[in-house]
Amino acid sequence: MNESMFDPQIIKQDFPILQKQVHDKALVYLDSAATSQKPRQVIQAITNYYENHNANVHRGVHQLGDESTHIFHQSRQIIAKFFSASPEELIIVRNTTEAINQVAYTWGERHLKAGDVILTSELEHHSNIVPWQALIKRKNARLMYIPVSENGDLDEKFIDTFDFKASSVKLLTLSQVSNTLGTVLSLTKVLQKIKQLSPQTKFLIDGAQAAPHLPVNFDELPIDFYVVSAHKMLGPMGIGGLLVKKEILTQLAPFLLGGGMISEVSLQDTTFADDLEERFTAGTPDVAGLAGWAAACSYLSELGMENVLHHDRELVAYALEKLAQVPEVTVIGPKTAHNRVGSVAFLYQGVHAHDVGQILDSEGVAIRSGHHCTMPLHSKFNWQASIRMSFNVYNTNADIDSLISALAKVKKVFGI
Amino acid sequence: MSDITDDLYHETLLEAAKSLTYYGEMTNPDLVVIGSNASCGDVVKIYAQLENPEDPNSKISKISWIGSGCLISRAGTNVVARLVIEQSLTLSQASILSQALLEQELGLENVSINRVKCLLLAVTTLKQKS
Repeated sequence: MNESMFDPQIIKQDFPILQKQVHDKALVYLDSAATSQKPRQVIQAITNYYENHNANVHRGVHQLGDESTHIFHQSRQIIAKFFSASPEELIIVRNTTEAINQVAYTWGERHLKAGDVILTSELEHHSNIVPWQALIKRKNARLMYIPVSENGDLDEKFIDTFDFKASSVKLLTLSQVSNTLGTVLSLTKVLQKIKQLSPQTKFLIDGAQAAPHLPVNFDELPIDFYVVSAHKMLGPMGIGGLLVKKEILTQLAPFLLGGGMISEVSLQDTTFADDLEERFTAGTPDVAGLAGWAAACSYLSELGMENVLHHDRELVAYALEKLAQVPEVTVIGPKTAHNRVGSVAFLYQGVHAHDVGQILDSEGVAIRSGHHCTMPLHSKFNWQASIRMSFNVYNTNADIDSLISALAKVKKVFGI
Repeated sequence: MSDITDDLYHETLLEAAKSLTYYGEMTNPDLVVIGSNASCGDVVKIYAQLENPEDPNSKISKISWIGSGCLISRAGTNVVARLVIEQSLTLSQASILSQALLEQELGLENVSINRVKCLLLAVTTLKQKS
């Protein structure tokens, strides 16, 4: 599909829920960073699996068992290919949070020693802070934070002056895109410094907010772990991925143990499956979820991720332009679209974010209000709570216009 | 008052949120309790003096609160404080004030599931000490 064929009005028709009315008004869904809506193709893939192919995988020798196993493998291949990874590098989890916890409980438990450092940033989602806080307590290690600058990016001065050589940083774990500010983090510099000065450091990218908007090439990225949730990229809830480079995966102990991931079990001992895909799939997998996620990947691939990114940047630029015309609004994060994707968050003078959100809802406009699971970031800049509009492929400038019109009601109701 | 009406943010609620009669810090409180709504950042600090400071089951003689949060959490907290004094409640009694009563006091109907915790912030905060 070329750029001119990317028409969000046509794309919108693929999403049944976007035809819905709320409070007798057309739904304007601007909360895709919390979860995206699902196209008919994804819903049908899940329904089709249960209506026509449902059976356990790798177990029976019957026809349905073969069909289900085929869908399982085919889906894994499509998903891995979407991220330019090999299928064996993909561990299926429930969501990004579980993926990060899995790294903490497997790689972290084995490799982190007393005094070691895990380096992250102040703008991370709680899911990229809390598991590390628990791990460093267990290991008597240290958790350090790269400060966030006013422009919503990593503080360059910190990266320039931090002594990576002496600090025993075992893991650097950062978002690719901030879920609150929408910033695409400048990772190149910190990555280069780490590779040069501390080559033993492993690198995890939280791609939850990047994967829906940016092309991701896992095998080319100089990183070790990449974590994502399907539901933010048009796929179903309850399934996600932990991508691990093969050289690490071969040395990683499986997190979950039980059926399906073994080679041989006696009453005294067990050997795990040599096949990496099997070794990291304990218990019955969510095959319907995988089929749905694969359909989402195919849908996005057909649109073309470069086109998706271009469309998203246009929406961000339009939102920034329109919000700049509302005197009560202060946009948080970068003021230009070039280093943003996915969302624009703002404060509304004199009215709490929840009250703004409720008034917008009464006009059919769904946005997120609160701290978006980034309390440390909100505390740093003294934002009690913020309002976030976020986009996906089905959004249009008209959706942003609807939000701007609904903001006028906030002004009227609260007599500002 | 504005000329626009809203199902939730009607005049009773807006007026209640404007006159927060129990807002303020307290010197020499017998108890101080802090509560918050983790998902949205509403924070409240409630101060109280008891008729008999030795007896936690005695009536609350004086109450005030400070905090920041959405309009419903602020209006709701102030209503709880007013009811405590008007009805001479103990801490235990205040901590079981019902959602229905608070809705009635603020002229609200069917507060949505995601806003109930805002309305009940003061009640859940007091429950920590009851």
